[in-house]
Amino acid sequence: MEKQYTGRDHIASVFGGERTDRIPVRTLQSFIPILGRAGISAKEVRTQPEKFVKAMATLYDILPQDGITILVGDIALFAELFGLSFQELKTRALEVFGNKSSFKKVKLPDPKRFERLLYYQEICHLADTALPEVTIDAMSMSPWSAAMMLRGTENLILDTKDDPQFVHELLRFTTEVSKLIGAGLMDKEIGMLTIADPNAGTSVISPKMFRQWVMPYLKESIDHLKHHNEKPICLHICGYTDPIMEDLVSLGVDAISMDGPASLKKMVEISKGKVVIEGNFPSELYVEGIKEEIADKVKESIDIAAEPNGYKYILCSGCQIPDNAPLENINHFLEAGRQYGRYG
Amino acid sequence: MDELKKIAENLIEGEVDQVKELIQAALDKGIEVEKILNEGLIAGMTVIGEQFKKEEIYLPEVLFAARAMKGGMEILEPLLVSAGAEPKGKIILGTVKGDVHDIGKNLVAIILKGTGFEVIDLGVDIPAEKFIDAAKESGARLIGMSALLGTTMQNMQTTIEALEAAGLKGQIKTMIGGAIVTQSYADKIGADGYAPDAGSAVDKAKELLGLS
Repeated sequence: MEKQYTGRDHIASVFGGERTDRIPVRTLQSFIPILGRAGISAKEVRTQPEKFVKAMATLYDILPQDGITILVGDIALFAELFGLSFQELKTRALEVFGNKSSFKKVKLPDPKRFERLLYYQEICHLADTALPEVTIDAMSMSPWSAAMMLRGTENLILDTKDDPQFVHELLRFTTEVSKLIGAGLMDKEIGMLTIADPNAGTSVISPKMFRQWVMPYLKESIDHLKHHNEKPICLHICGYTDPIMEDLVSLGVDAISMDGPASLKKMVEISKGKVVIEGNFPSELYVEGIKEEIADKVKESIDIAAEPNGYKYILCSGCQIPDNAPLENINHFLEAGRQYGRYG
Repeated sequence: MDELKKIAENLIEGEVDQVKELIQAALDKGIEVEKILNEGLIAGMTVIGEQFKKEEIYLPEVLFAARAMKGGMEILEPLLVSAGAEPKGKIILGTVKGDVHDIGKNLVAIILKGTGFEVIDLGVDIPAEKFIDAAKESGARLIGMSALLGTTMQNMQTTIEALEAAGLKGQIKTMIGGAIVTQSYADKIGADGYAPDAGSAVDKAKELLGLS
C-alpha cells in the first residue's frame, strides 16, 4: 500500500527530510474570509489563543494544505513595548511620542513576562496539537521592516539621508527585539520560522540601500536565530526582488519566500539548489483567475522551480492572498499543486 | 541657462536645501517663475521618471527628488497663484480604507502639483464616502486611489460602486495605482484609469481630464 504522507512530511522533505511523493503546497493568508464559518470574531482571534487556533483549524478544513502560517502581530508586540494602543502604533509610534528618539527609553522585556509574545507562544503550542499533520510556521518581522513600522516608511527612507546615526540606533533596537521574538517563537513547537521583511524589496528601497541598511542587521538576526536552534528559517520579502537575489541567498537562510513580481526562474538560477524556494503565485490570479489559468500558472511554477532547484521548492502564494479572493480559487490552486507536483 | 540646469541637477540628487537656494537666486535674478518650474523642477523630475522606468534608480531616489521638488514648490506656488495661473484641474487623492501606505500616493501628489494640478490629498485609510464627498464639495472630476495590500485593494471597487450608486460614475472619473494593482484589476472593477508609477499617473490624469 502506498505510504500516506502528511503536510509535515512534505515540508520536512524539502529541508532534508525523507523524500515524499510530491512537492509541498501552501498559502499565506489571513483568517478574515473564514471567520464567519468558524463562528468566531476578529477580536476573539486577537485576544484568545484557542480561538486563533480554531481559526487555523477551520482554514485547514476548508483549504487543506501542508503548512499554515501564524502571522505574528508585530504591531501588538511593539504596542506592548511602547505602552501604546493598537491604533496609536498604527499611526507610527515615534510620531505619536513626538520625538523620534523616544525608543531609546524602551527597555527590552523579559521574554517570560512579554505578554504578547506569551500569547503567540501559546498559539504555537496549541496549534501543534490541534493540527498534527500540518507544519506550523510562525512569521515574525525583520529589523528593517519593524523600524519602518515604528518610524513610517517614507520617514525612515528620508532619515537614511538626513540622519543616518538615528537609523543605525533604531535598527540596533529593532534587531534586538527581532532576535528576542524570533527566539521565543523557535522555542515553541513550530516547524519553521519565517522572518518577514515586507519593506526590504526593491519595490520600496534600492539595492544599495538594501545592502547598506537592511543586510547587516538582518544577517545578525538570522545568525543569532540559526545558533538558537536548528529549525528552518525562511525569509519573506514582498514585491520585486530580482536585483538583490544573490544577496538574499548569501544571508544563509534555509528558505526564501518570493512574491509574485519577482522572477522564479532567476532565483532558481542563483540558488542552484542551495536554498529552498517558496512562492510565488501571483495574488491577483486568486482574485481574477479562472480554474484553467490557475492550473496553468501552477504547472509553470512547478516546471520552473521544482526539479531545477533539486526539488527544494514549496509552491505557495507569493504574498498574503487578498481577502476578496474566492475560496474555490484557492482550492483550485491547492488541488493543482498536489496534482502537478507529484514526483514522476 | 545654467541656473535652471543646476536646479534640475540638484533636484535629481535630492538636495532640497540647494534646490531652494538656487530657486531663490534665480528669482532674484529675474528669471520667470514658470520658466523655473518647467525648465528646472519639472525637467529634473522628468529625468527622474525616465531613470525610474529604466530601473536605473529606485523609489528612494524618487522620494528624495520629490521632496526637493516639494521644497521648490513651496517657494514657487504662491508666486504662481498671485500671478493668476489657473490649475489644470482638481484631483482628489487618497489611500483606500484599511491601508496606511502612502509613499506612492504622496509621490503622485507632489508630481501632480508640480505639473499644475490642484491636489486635494485626503491622506490614508479613506472610506468610499469620503472620496465622493470630497469630489462633490470641491467639484473635482477625478478621484485617484492607492492601495499597497491585497487585503485592501477591494476597497477601490467599493468606492467605484458607491460612485455608481450616487449616479456620479462617468461625471467623476477614477484612477488607481499601487504595488498590488494591475491594469486587469482596474478593468475588472471598472476604474477609468490605471497608472503603474507616479510619472504615468500624471499622463493618465491628463488623459482622463481631456488635457492631453
